[in-house]
Amino acid sequence: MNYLPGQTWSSQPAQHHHQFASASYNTDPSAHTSQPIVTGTSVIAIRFKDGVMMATDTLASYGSLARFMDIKRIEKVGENTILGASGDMSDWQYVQHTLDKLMLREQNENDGHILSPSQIYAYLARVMYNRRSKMDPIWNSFVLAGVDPKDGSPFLGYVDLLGTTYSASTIATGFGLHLAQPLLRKAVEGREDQIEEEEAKRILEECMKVLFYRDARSLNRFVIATVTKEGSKISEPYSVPTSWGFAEMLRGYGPQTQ
Amino acid sequence: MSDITTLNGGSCIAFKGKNCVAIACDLRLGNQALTVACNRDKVFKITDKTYLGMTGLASDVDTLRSAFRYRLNMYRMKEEREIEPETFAHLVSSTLYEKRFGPYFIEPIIAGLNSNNEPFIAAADLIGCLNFAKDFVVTGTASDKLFGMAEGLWEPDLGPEELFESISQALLGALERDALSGWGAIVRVITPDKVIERTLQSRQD
Amino acid sequence: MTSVAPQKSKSGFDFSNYSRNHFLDGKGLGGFTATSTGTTIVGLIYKDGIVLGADTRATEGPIVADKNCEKIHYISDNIRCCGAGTAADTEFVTALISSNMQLHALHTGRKPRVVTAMTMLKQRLFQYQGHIGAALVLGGYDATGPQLFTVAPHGSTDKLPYVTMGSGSLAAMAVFESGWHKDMEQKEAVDLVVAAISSGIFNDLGSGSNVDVCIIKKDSTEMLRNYVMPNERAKKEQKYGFAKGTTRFTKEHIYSMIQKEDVFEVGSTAPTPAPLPAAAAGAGGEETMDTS
Repeated sequence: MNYLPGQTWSSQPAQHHHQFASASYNTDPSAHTSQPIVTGTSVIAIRFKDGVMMATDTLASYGSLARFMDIKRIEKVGENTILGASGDMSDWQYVQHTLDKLMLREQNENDGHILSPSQIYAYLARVMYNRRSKMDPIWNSFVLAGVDPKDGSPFLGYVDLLGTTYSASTIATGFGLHLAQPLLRKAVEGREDQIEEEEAKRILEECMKVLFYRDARSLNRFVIATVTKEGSKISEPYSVPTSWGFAEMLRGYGPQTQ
Repeated sequence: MSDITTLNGGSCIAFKGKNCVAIACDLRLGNQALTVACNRDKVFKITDKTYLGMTGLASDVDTLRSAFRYRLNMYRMKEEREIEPETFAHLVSSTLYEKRFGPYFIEPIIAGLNSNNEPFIAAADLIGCLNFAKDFVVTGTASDKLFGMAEGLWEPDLGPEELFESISQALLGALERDALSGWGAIVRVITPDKVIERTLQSRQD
Repeated sequence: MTSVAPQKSKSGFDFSNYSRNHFLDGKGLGGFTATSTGTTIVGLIYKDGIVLGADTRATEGPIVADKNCEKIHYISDNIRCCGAGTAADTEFVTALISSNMQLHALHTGRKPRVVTAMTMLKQRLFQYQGHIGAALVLGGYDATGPQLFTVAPHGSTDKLPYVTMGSGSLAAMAVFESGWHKDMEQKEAVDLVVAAISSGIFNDLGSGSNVDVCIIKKDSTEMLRNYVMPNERAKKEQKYGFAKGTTRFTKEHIYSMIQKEDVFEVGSTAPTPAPLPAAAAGAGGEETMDTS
């Protein structure tokens, strides 16, 4: 019997159906997020020689409808940090607002200190964990990336709706976990300090292409954001060429030949 | 109780050695937490040089004993020779797979020497998927602990006496940690010219 | 027991235990784990034919039951089938279809074709409505050229130039999507298959151990068992054997398989018997031989 929760060897990877309040009308005065409505798909990110790089597509889906095709799922948080979000888009907007307030308060202190990426990450992780402990999660999986301005050290971290955190040189969320992570690991692990910016961009573009091929809730229009010692920049949305004619010569699904 | 396969308790293990094999089992028969008998041998002789160990639901073990006895006798009559262990393993597998959608709750292991005195061991799951291991096979309520003990203690090319020591220590170690197996153990070492059967002293709880 | 001799076995499945097991299930006493193959299996078409690949781990729940099982099954000389899902099902369904293919080839007098095996498999799996848990990658080179299919447990098939199945299928498909192109060379194709299976082995928990590869061309089939072994266990630093006598046993019985015969000739020409030798050592009067 499958007595270990979450363990599945089936070829359909487990979609995380978290056991929060059931999706029915709520008689409580306060509502709990019980299911994501408008969602974003994978976020992928890697560490390279000069810093960190992240990519997301620009799609927000409404179930199976490709509803909003020009959404920014990566935003700057201060000058040295970027945050990418997958999952519920309304909770993403709430978190953006929360972090804006955080950065504003820091700025107003005017004491020469700014929050480093790892500090913003610690704050965000606490917020996520506290919400899940109230059984009212922020339904997102975040990837936070940045370069600490004081010593130039890169930072790449993951935090999700359960408050799970981890740090690695390659991170992916959603479908990217299954499709992109193997490619990212093979390309990056062990040689983080030798990858130039151009190569990092190519690695991420390759993964976004594979995700577009195989993720049914993705779009061939994405942004790539980079953070180095010099600062952060987010590109304009663009696409990669794809080829769909690989099975041109085949007919049918069995013995049919014409 | 979570499932029927752990109702009676019991474990079995087989090791492959150099020109010999060893098969061992505990002796407990239980009804959940109550121990009912301390003399239930789970290993059965198939031919002089082949033995079958079965763990799981005791009544299914008994049913299959009769079923295999019948099929074995038919084989002996038709082929006019004794069955090879590898052939017998396939016989076990197809007998179990017949009951694919209503299986017997047992997990068998087969150990023996073929007619060229080459050692052979195999295990199957309850619907007959065979596993031809080159080192050891384990089954029963203590299988997780037996896996661990065997991975640590098995070595290639052990002689009969060394094999006896290794398999006994592996089984006894696992029995220390399994509540549903124990109350004694029997080890049989099968060599080309004899079978040495020894009853071990183990903890009686 | 009511009947000692079981009925003569009819071919096909025997459902006589079904009502008993269903009853137990209703009482919450079901709970058996059959060996599942977790698995990463792949296949692709290249310039000269087909390359199939598979990992070698078989799991029973969270435990690895078999560290080196064979998942590329023989259908005929020019056709092979990789199997994922319930191990017993993939084993038996491929063995059955292999046997039927051989009979079919004798019946038609022609070399077997991949579409025949595919049709036999899908019709059988559909008949059992998905209860036979076999997900297969079927590939071969027959008179119509190289053919590659997937067969899902419910009986649907897909015809594609590159396919992956099993729990590690996404990890392997990511590698294929980045690397496959039409008319690859053999070395390129084998390297891509090895990369895809390795991706499954290292990123999927249900797959592991070694990589098996099978190359099927027009006139030859090459089975490369354990082609790559990236997970060999480190050599043990010491021996962990026990000295003889470590284990205490309360009873010992030796079944000797050598029958001793004493031949006494009788009659007028019989030689006078020599005096008996000193009593031999050993329990129960048997001579115990030392063969260790």
